[in-house]
Amino acid sequence: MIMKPLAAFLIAALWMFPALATSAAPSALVDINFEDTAPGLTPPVLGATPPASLPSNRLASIQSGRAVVSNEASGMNKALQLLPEPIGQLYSYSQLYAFSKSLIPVSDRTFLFEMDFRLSNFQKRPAASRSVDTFTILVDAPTAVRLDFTTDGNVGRVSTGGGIPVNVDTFSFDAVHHLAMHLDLKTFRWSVWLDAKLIIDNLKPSSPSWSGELSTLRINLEDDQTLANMPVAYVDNIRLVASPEIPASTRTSLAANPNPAFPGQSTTLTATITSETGTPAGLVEFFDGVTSLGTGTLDGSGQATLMAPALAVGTHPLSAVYQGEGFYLPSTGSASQVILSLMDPSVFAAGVVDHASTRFLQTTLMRQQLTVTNRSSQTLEAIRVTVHWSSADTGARIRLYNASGINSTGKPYLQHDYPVPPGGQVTMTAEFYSPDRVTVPTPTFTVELVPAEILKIPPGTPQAVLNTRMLAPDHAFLIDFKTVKGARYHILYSPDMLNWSLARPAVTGTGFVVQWVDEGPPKTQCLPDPKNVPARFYQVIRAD
Amino acid sequence: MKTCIIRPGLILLTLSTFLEAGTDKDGFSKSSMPQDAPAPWIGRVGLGYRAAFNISADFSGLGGYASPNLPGAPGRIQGAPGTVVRSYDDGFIGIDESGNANGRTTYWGYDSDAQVSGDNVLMRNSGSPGTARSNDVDEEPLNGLELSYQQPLGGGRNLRWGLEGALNWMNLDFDDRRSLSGDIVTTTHSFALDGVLPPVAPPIYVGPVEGPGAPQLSDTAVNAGTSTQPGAAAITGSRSLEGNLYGMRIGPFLEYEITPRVSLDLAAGLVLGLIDSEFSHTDTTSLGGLGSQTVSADSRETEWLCGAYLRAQVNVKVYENISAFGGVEFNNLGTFDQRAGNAEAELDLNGAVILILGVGVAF
Repeated sequence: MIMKPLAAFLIAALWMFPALATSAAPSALVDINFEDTAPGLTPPVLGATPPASLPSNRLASIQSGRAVVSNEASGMNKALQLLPEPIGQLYSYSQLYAFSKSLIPVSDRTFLFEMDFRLSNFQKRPAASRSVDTFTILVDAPTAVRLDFTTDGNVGRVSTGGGIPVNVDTFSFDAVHHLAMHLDLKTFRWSVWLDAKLIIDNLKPSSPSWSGELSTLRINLEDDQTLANMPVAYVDNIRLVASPEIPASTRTSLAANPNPAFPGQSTTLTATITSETGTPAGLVEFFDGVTSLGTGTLDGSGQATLMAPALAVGTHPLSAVYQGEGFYLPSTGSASQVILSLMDPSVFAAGVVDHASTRFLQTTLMRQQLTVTNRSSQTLEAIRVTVHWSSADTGARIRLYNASGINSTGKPYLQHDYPVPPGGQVTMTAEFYSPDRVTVPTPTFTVELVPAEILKIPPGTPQAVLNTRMLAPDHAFLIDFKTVKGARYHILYSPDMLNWSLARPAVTGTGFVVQWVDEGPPKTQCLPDPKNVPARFYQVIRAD
Repeated sequence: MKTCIIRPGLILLTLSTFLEAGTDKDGFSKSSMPQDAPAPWIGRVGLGYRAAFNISADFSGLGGYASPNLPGAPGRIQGAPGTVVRSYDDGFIGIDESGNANGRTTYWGYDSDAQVSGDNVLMRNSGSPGTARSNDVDEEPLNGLELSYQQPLGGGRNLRWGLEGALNWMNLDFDDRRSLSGDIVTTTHSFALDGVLPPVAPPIYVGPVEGPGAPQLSDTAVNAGTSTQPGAAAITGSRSLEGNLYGMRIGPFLEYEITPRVSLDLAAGLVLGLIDSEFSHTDTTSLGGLGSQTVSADSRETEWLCGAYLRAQVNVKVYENISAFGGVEFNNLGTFDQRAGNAEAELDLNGAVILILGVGVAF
C-alpha cells in the first residue's frame, strides 16, 4: 500500500543527485548483465525475484567466441530504498544507493566491477538516542567469482549534511565477504560512501551448452539492528549470463609419459583440450596410427588420459581426436611415442671380458661390465639382465658366479634392485668362472624391467671380518673372513653402520679364509667410491 | 784303515821252521852259546795284562733332519689337478682345476701373511744335513790280555836276541751320550703374486682346487737362496762302539841282562789285528718349530788291521825260570772305520800306549 509513494520518492531522490548518474558504461567483453528489476530508475523491491529472461537489449552479439555485451545501464542504476519503518519517528527514512559504475575487463575471464554504495540518512530530526551500529554487506558469490572489496581510501568518506561528524569505528571485510561498518547515527542527514570493487575472476561457462545463466552474484546489505521493525536491506542480483552464437575452436595436445619408454613400462597418454572460451568437455579417442587405443573422457580441467596398452618397440605415431561437444569444435593432436628396445646399443652395452687383469688374478673370475642406461623419462625400479650361454660356454662349464638368481627357464640373471632415474645408468659386473681359465665366455644377454625385489636380512651369527682392503683402481673393497666348510655367509654393507643392506649372492665357506670383493652392482647398490661412497662398512653373518 | 792279509798261521809256521834249523834240541844256537853263559832258556812264555791308552773313537755323520716336504727344484712342476706338487714348512703349491693354466694356481696355501715379501710369497723348507760329530770319545784304559812267546836265537852272556810273537785280545767299549748340535739349512722359494692381495693368515690359508673367488699365485718357484744356521739344530742321543780287538804281533827282540835277576827287553815288529765291533747310535735332531726326527742305526763289522809296535819290557826273575815282567808297548794299528747308516765311527789305534804287566815262564 505504501509502495507507490516510496517509488515516487525514490525517483525524486535520484533526481536530486544528478552527480550520481554515471556516464555511458563501457563495453565489456563478457556477457554480464546487471539486470534491473525494471528499466529505468525504478529500484528493486526487497525480495523481488529477477526476471527469468533477459531483456533483449542486454545481449550483444557474440563475436569470435567471445560474448560481447554492452552494459547499457547508465547512471544510477541501482537505487534501493530502505524501507522506512518510522517506529517512534526516530528518523524519517534512510536510503542506500548502489551505483554500478563500470565493468572493466582485466583479461578474457577476469573483470573488475566497481560499485559504489552510499548510505544516507535523511532523518529529519536528530535522534535522541538512536544509533545504527552496523551495516553489513553480504555478498553471496558463486565460486567462479572472486570478490575483493577495496576502499581506495573512500571508506568512511563521510559527508555530514548537518555538519555533525559521523564516526566510522570499524571497517572490515572478512573471508565470507561480510563488510561491516559501524556508524554513529546519532546525527541526521549524513551519508556514507563506500567504493567496492568486485573482481569477477576466471569466468567460465558452467556447462558445455554455454548458454543461460552462468552464475549469480548476490549482494545483500543489511543492518544488523535487531529491531524487527527496522529492516534495512538491499538485495540485488547480478546475473552473469552468456549465450553462444559461434562455436568455439579447440586445440588438442597429446603427451605420452614416459617417452621414450621401454617395453614393460606403463605409458600414460594425456590429451589436453583447450579453448579460448572455457573448458571443453567430451570424449577423446587415442590412436596409434590408425589403430584405436581407447577413449578417454575429459575431466574438469580439459584433460583425458588413457593407459596405453603395451606398444611394440619402435616409433609410434600417436594421435588424440577430440570429437567436439556443444559449441566446442573437434580438434586433433598428435605425438610420437618411441618405444626403445632394452637391447638398443644406446641402452645396453656389454664390455669386454676381462680375463687377464690383476682383478682376475685376485678372484679367478672373468668380469664383464654390463651397462644399462635409462633413456626413458621414468625411473626404472629394477633391471634384470639374463645370461644366455653359448655352446662354447656350456662346453667349457662356464658359470655365472654372482648370479642374483635363476629364472623359470633355468637361466641365471643379474638383478639391480635400486632405482635408476631418467638419464641415469647402472653398470653391473658379471663374474664368470671358467674352470679351465682359458675359455673366455661369449654369452648373450637380454634385459628386462622387473619389480624390485626386497632383500631381507636373514638371521644369522655375526662373524669377524679379518681385514678390509681397497683394490685399485676402481675402489672395490676386498674383505677377508674365516669360514666353515659348506656354511653359508651373508654379507651386509652400510655407509654409516646404522642402515644395513644385504649383498647377494651369499658365499659358501671353504673351511679357510675366504676373500670377497665388493664390485658394486649387482652385489651391492653401487661401487664404493671416495666421491659417492666415502665409507662402507661390512658385516658377515653366518646363516643359521 | 789298513788291512793286513798275512795269515798268522803262515807266519808261525815259517818261524817254527827257522827255529828248528838254527837251534839244538835245547833251543840255543849251537855256534854262539858261550861257555860261561847262565843257564840258557830256550823259550819263554808270557801271559800279561794289557791296559791300553790313547785309543779314541770319533763319531761323525750324526743327527740329521730330513724334511718331509718336497719343495722340488726351481721352475714349474706339472701334476694332476688336486695334487700338491710342492710342499714346504710353511706352505704348498698344488695343481688347481685348470691344471694351473697360465702358470698360476688357486690351490696353494701358506701359514702366515708374514711370508709376503714385496709382490711375492716366500716358502721355506728346512732340514739338517746330519753332519754332526762327536770326537775323542775314549774309555781309558782298554783292558786286554796277551799270551806271548820269546825264542832266543843268539847272543852272549848279557845280551840275547831272538824272535817273539804274541796273541792278544782287547775289549773295545766306547759309549757317547753327549748333546750335539747340527746346522739348519733352509731353502727358500719365491712365488709371484703379480699384484694379488693374499688372504689374511694366520690361520693358515688353503686355497681351493676349484677356484672361483680365490686369489691366484704363480706356480713357478724361483730360488730365493739357501741359508745355514750353524748349530741351530739340537741333537740328543747315544752312540756306542763295542767289540773285541784280537791281535798278533811278531818281531825280533833284544834282551839285556842287567843283573842275574833283571833283564830289559826291547822289541819291535809287526802287529796284526782283527777287530770285531758293533756300532750303534740313536740321535734325535730337533729343529725349533718344525719338530724332531730320530735316526737310529747299527752295524757289525770285522776287519783286519796291521801295523807295527815298539815294546820295552823289564823282566824280573822271581823264582828260577819264572819272572814277572812289565813294560810299555807303542802300538800303531792305524784307524778303523765303521758305518751305521749315515753315521760313522772312527777308531783311532794310532799311537796306542799299552801298559803291560804279566808273568813269564822260561824253559
